[in-house]
Amino acid sequence: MNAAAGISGAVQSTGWEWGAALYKNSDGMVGITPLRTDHDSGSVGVSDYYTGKDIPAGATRIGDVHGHTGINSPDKGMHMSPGDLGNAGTMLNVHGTQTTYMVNPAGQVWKFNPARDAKPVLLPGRIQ
Amino acid sequence: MPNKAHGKLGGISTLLVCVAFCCIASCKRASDDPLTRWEAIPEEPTQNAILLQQAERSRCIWSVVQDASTHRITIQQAAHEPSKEHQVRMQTETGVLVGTDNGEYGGGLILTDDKRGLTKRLLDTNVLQLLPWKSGVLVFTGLLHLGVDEGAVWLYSKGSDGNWSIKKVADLNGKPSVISSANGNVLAVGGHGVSRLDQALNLTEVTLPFAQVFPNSITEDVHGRIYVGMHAFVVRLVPAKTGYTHEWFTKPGCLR
Repeated sequence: MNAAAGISGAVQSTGWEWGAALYKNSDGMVGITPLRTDHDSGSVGVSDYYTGKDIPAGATRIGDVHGHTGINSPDKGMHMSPGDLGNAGTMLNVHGTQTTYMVNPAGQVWKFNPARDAKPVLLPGRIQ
Repeated sequence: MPNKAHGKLGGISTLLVCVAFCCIASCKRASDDPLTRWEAIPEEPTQNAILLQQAERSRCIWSVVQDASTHRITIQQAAHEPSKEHQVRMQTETGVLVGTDNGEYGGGLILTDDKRGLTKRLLDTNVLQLLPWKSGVLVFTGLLHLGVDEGAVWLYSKGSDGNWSIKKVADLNGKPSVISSANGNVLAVGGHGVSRLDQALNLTEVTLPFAQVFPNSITEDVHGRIYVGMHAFVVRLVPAKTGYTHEWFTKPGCLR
């Protein structure tokens, strides 16, 4: 939720999407790479090429998190997009189980892991 | 004697004219080089180098521009990140091509012809740019979203049977952020480096560590040298026996 709050703030202050990769260290602690943006309101890249340098040696990538601007999207950015769902499937094939989190313009957080979930799940609560 | 003196003066005059001509010629050469007063980086930064991290946060955003009539290249400082187009259109003899790029929400390429009431979907992927080509239209597609990073170039053209169709020319190394044409060639640049399509549609890709520097403009001069504008740097690619050599330039105060 802390990561989603940081992303939500960055999205709202810039009008661009921001995102990061999530990883798990060998001791089980979960970490997040620094937030990044492509200065685009409709997408943000967090592939290994862009975020791999920030994943510590020995850690394993476990997913990603990003925020929607609501700009130029049919549902005002409230739900996971076709790109989010497609990415989840691609990442499942590339990295094994991966969880994608998305924070929407209303501060709600969606979670999707295609290995476990039939469809995206809305987490309880809301970022203020 | 006067003749001799005159001859001597004439020789000096000729020499002075020659010196002046050489000065003007070399000054012109220098002024034709848009990077004359720039600082060259002695060693090309590698991916994730400190210099690139500094560039990522730099307030200097350099944009390379080529004058359409003189072909002279100038470098300008952009006030902010260039905004992105979500729709591109081009008139063709079969109708209007409309390409859309809605990022993670998708995009496509549609052919519309109001006269015939025709709408035909040609591609179901994000369309970034349409460029006129001698045998049709080049269509650049791509998406960089979360773990997906892909790009491609297609040709919409008329076949020998007179029918128009679209075919993939090549996959690109990731999504290009900028595409432009210069000298009859097509250039694209993104986080993975530069792609160049020559007039026979042969693809040359130059891998460069551009992930952190957000390239925003690209052009090529009459000598085939490619200039790329980005955060903190201007990178020049100079044709070599095989491929290109790479030169990185910046200005004082851009890297902190």
